This record gives sequence, C-alpha cells and structure tokens, in this order.
Amino acid sequence: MTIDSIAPAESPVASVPSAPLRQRLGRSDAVRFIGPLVVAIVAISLYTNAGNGRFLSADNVENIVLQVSVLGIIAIGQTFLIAAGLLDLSVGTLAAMSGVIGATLVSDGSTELIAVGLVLVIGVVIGVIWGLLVAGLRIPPFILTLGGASVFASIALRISKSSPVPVRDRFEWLGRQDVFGLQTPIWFFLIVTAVAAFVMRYTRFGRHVYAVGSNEDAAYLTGIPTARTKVICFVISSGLSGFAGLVAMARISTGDPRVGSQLALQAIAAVVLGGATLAGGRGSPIGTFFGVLLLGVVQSALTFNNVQTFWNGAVFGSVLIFAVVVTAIGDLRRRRRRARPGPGSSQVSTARPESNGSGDQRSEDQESHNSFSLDHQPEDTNQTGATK
Amino acid sequence: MNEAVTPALELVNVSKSFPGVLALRDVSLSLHAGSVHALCGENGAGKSTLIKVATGAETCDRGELRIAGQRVDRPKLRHVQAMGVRAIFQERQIAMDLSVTENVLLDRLPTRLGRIDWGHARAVAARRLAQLDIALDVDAPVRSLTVAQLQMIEIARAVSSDARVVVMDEPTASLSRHELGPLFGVIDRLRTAGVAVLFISHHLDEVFEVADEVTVMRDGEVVDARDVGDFTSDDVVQAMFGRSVDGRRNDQSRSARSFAPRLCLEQVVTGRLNGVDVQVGAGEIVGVAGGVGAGVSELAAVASGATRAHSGEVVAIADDGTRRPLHTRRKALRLGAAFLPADRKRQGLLLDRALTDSIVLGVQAEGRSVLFAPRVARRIASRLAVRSNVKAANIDVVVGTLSGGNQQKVMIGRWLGVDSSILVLDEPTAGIDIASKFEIYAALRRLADDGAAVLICSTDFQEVGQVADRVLVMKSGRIIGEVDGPSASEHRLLEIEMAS
Repeated sequence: MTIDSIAPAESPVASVPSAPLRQRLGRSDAVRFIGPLVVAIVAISLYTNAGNGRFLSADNVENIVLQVSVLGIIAIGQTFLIAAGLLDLSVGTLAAMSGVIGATLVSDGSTELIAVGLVLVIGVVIGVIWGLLVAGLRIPPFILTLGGASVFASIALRISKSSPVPVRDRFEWLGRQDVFGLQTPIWFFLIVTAVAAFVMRYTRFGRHVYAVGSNEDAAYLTGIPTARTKVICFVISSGLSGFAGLVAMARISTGDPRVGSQLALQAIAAVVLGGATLAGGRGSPIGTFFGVLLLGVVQSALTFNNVQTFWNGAVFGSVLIFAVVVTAIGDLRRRRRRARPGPGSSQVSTARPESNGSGDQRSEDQESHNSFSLDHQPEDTNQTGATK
Repeated sequence: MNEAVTPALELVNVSKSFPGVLALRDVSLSLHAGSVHALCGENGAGKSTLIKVATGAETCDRGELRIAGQRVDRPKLRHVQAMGVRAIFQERQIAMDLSVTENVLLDRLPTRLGRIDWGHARAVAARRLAQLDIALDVDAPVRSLTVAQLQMIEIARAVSSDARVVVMDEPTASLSRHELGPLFGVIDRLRTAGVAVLFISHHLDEVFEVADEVTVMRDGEVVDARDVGDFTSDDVVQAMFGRSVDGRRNDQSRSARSFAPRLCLEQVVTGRLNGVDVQVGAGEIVGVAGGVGAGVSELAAVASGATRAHSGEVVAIADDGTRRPLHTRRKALRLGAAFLPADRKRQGLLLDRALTDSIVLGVQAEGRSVLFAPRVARRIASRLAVRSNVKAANIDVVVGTLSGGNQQKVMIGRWLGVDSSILVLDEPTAGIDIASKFEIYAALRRLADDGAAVLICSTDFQEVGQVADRVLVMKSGRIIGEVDGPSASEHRLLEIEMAS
C-alpha cells in the first residue's frame, strides 16, 4: 500500500504552482553569484586590456585558463565537499605527492598508464579513508585533513628526495598536448566541470549532497545514506586532486614536491567565490568554475599591470573578503525583506488570503502570503507575470 | 470586563497587509491589567502578526497601538519594550553554557567599578525567581535544566518589575502535561500582580484553565471576543473554523480485532529505555504516552531505526513472516518504515532551501534510479504539496518561512510518495492548530485502514487517546500500563502514570 490515501479527499487542486520563472532565476545561485563573477571578470579584463591590448589576445586568454586548470580541477572536487558541509585541506599536498609518485614511477620504468592508474587508486583510497573517519567516527574534517596535508607533504619530499623529479618527454597527452586548439589541461578542467555540474544537478547523489549539507540530521532521519554520500564526496575530491597533481606534473614535465602548498586554500577560496558557504548546502561547479577563472584573471591582470608579485596575496585575499562581505550583505537584506516587507507595494492589499501568491519577489517569501486558493486553480504563472 | 478602566495595551482598528495579503483586517483588542487574555485561531489566522504589531516588531498600516491609554506612533521594538510590554517567544533564547543567574539577567548584569558584581547579580536573580515562585538554584548551569525550567528563566528575564504586559506565544507547546502546573502558577502570579497577559495556545482546555477573556481570530479578523465564562469550547472551535470540528473518535471498537504483527520491539534497552516490548500490527494505531523524559522520543527513534538499541530486537515482520532487523534508518526505510521526528526544524526540514527540496526528500531517499532531474523533483513536489494540503504560494517558497502547521504538512507530504508499511511518528502534532490535527489524525486512520502499522509517540496524553487503538503508558523508560483505545481518556492515562 502507499500513503496516497492521506490526501484530503476534498482538495480539488491538481498542483501547487512553481514560482514565476523570473523569481526563480532571481533567486537561483546561478544568477546571484555567477552574474557578479562574470561582471568582475569582464571588467578586470577590459580594464587591463585597455592598458595592454595583448591581455585579451587568444594566446593570453588560453594561458590564463591553462594557469588555473590544475587549481580548477581540485576546486571542482572541493565543491562537492563544501556543498555537503565538509572540507579537505589536504588536496594541495595530495596533488603534489601524486605528481611526484607519478613522475618517479615513470622514471623508474613503469608505463604512463600504470602510473596514472596507481596514482588514482591512491587518491581514491585516501578519499575512502577520510570519508570513513569523518562519517563513521565524526572526526572534524578540518583537523583530520590538516594532519593529512602535512603527512602528504612529507611523503612527497621523501619520495622525491626533496628535489624535482624530471619526466622529460613523457606524459605529453596529459599536460602539454594541443587538442582542437586547446591544451589538454584546459580540456580536463572543462570536462570535469561539465560532468560535475551534471552530477550535482541531475542525479540523486547530487541532491543527496545538498541535503546532507543543508541539514544532515534531516537527511539521515529521512533515510538518505549520509555516510555513503560523504565518503563519495571525499573520493571524488581526492581522486580529482590526484589527477590534478598528475596534470600539473605533466605540464611542467617535472614532479615537484612543493607545488601544492597554496592549492587547498585557493581551491576553497574559488568555491566560496562561486557561491558556496562553508556551512554547507550551497555551491555549484559552474560557480566554482567562474570563481577559479576570476582568480586566474586577477593573477594575470596583476602581471600585466606590473604589480610586484608580493602584492598577489593581498589582492587575492581582498577579492575573497570583498566577495564574502557582499554576499553576507545580500543575505542580510534578503532576510530583512522576508521578515519585514516594506509598505507601498504595487500589489493591492484588498486580497483575502485566497488570492494566489504571485506578487513581486519579496512578497512570496512572506509567510502570511503563502496561501493559495483551494477553490480556483492558480495555474496561471504566465498570466500573473503579464499582469505586472 | 472592566470597560471603564484604561486598558494596559490596546489595538484599535488595526490593519496590516503584506504584499498581496491582508494579514490583519480592522482588528481591535484590549488587554487589561490583572487579566489573562487568550488568543485563539488556526495557523495563519493572524495571531503572529497581531503579536508582532502589539510588541512593536511590526508597524501597522492603519489603526493604532495604545499602551496604558497613550498612543504610540511608529512603535519600535525597544520603545514598546521600555513601555513595559514583554514577549516570550516559542523559540528558547537561552545561553546554554551560562548559569541561571546570567540567563535571567543576561544583558543587564549589575556592575561595580566596571566589573560584574556577582553577589548582587545572584541576589537580583534570586529575587526575580522568588517573586514568581520559581524554585531554581541561581548557580545551576543551565544545561542541566528541563525545557520547562528554561522557560521559567525566560519568563523571569522578561518580567522585571516594570512589566505591564506580557505576551506568551504558545508557552505550553514545548511542555508536557504535568509541567503546566508551574507555568499556570506563574501566570496566576502575574495576574495578581496586575500584569496584563496575552496567552496563545492551541489547546482549548488550557485556554479555559487560565484565561479570563478570549479572543478568536480567523482569516485576519477578530470573529469573536468574550469573557471566558460566556464561551464554551464548542463556541470557540466554531468561531475558529467557521464550522464545528468533530473531534470525537469514530469508533468501531477496533481493539477487539487482532492484527498480524508488523513492527516488533522486544526487550529493547538504550540509554533511556529499560527493556521495552511493543508490537504494532498491520492496520493498527498504537499510541505510546509518557511525560517528557519518560523515553517516548527515544522509543520513536529506536522503532524507526534512527538509533540502534544496545540490546533487544527491533524488527519489521513481512507478510510472509520473515523478520528483518531495523538497524539503521536507511535499512528501516528500505523495509518500508517512514519516520516523522519531533523537531521538524532541526531534524526534518532543509530550512533555508525551497519547499521542493524538503518535500521530495522521502522519494529522493527511497528511489534507486541514478538520475533525479530538477524537473522531476518539481513535478513530484507540486503533487505532494497538494496531497498533504500544504498552503504555500508555490513550491519555490523557502520552507523555513512557512507556518508550523504547514511545515508539518510538508513533513507528512514527504512520506506520501513512498510505499510505507510502518509509520513512526514522534509528537506528530506539536504546535499545530486543531483543524490540522484532526486532518492528520484522519489521515493516520486512513493509512492504518490501508494496512500500515502506525506508532505514535507523544507527550500529549489527550492526543494518543483520540487516535490510537491501543495506548501504552511509559514512565522512566518502561511500559507501565496498557489501555484500549476507547477507554484511553487523558484522565485514565494520567492515573496510570501517577500510580506507579
């Protein structure tokens, strides 16, 4: 049997409507976060390009994306974790360790495929370990992965004996080849982003991630496999980090044990720029993509404007702080509007609660407005849009 | 009563509209010193808006707010507070790691030479509590107290000597029946001290116990207001809903029937439970009643697979007699066990996300397909929202902005799309208006008639008697008695509970 029978027999309405498309777009993370990011990217690009026309040349644009591809792949993995309310600080040094292991294996005579496979297996195993410790023993991921970051950095140094491991002409397909006009790292970044965006939006697992991040207890008590969801998030992130480490190594033909020190924090910054909050439940791969892009554009713009490199950190940090402050102010205003709508709305106030909720954006978040007719069907979302 | 005296607080012809909706229409209300005024109405009748206007949290569009006869223009929360109007809201505002003293005085700790004068602070806090006849140790850490005691602290904080009007928004919602006594005692004290009290409750028996005057609201209007003596509870219900609600059980003496066992707990032991046996048959509604802390909520958690028993067995029994243990919530879901946790905000809803995301969660958890597109989710959500009778403008509304009753309907809606043979409910109607309650009871009955095993765990003794075929009484983690549904009056259940 099903619980169908619980439906009130007298209810004549076939469906509760969706909000008008304009409202939905206005509140979607895509528009709220990606819009401003794109504006920032375009503005910085145009400004820099006005000073030096080569900034927007095809070569430099490709170069910008190429520079952040490794960071981007890691950040996409981190997006899953942050959306689930988790975090992994070890991804940067894991990438470095992966690059060193891959380079060492190949220079010791193993084939490229075996090296890649082995590194990916290591990444996945580490993800499983993190996931089980976090989901099973409830260890805070912050501390756990901070420890892990330190361990991986040491291992990378030990394996490489503290010096870069050259691979010469190997791994070309992974880091230096040109395919349809773009370097392979860029392709990897784009593909990973596209697949991740699809997974987060169109799969059951993706919805589980947001549910766990938004309210883990609710997700668990409903019967969502919260532990499994968390483990998979860690596996995705660690696996992608291992892969990103290989790409980085292939790009510079060297397994460098020191590449990873900044990557984890930069990745988290990019994810947050893309609309995620560390509290979980929010964030999207597309947002992260543009967050990463913004970091790349800023970096390149600084070089073009001859800003001395020690300012990079300051600019980078300021961009992040600025973004979270703007987001926080936006959230605050939304909450205010919800709690206390201003008078003088264009909507007529003679309506009884029966009038269907079709007001402007602020009105439909109002609790007292959340009533819709049981008598006449409010299927006319288009029509209400037209009456405005 | 006392028409001649200036009311302590008065709303005169107040109207308040939110975009698209008139929340209050020409509402007048007078609170008199030394009188307890009850405000009744369904969820969404306008009670919350009225409280907000009265306490200065919202300004009204038309009409005026008068405090002690004095008109307040453009009232502000602080301003109204300074004039002696205090409110105690449903959500506890307590700093859990501080002491009773600190929580009573909170932002007004007395200082001497820039340092907190603890001796003085303790004395003030103790005096406040004593004035209200509240027996609490001022040095006790707050974490060790019960919900009822926390509420007392909040009342003591709100009610300093200059309080003239105290607004209590559903103060009994989080209390069990026998914790009401002290609360009503405090309200009595306030009355004799000449404070005007506005009391909001979904329980009519409480209204009749404490109130002197009653105002009933419906659809943003005052539909009836009288002294309590001139009201019968049927009058109030009639006024609230514009029709009478049949609250009596529709009985066919079901208890005589025997049911094939579906959910079975044997000698279950957990931190709170102390060897509990419960059997729920297919088609049967079993109620478990007990005070807060008796273990009722733990029983619900174990029965739904949310927590694991230390020892003993929790099994689902299939039609063919196979017994499968409900070890984890996930496993229980796979065996057809739905669960409604008590705290819908913390344990149930994805509060900051759209209604869709919360209401499809059951289908989302239960289904096995890899893909689950937003379009599909939206379609399911809009269907479930109608079937569970959620009143919302649309399925994209942030679920945290809905009223309590509607939030609970979302919780129930979540399980409507899932094939469930076992239904475990923890406090299914806490903080919900009477009409919604009976809607939910009727729905549970229909589910049982369709063959579901329903287990209701509740601290509301009245509720379990109304719906269950069989009621078990629980105390200190043990089942101490069993009563047939028809004879399970609140009185009888309390008797059993007190007797042991």
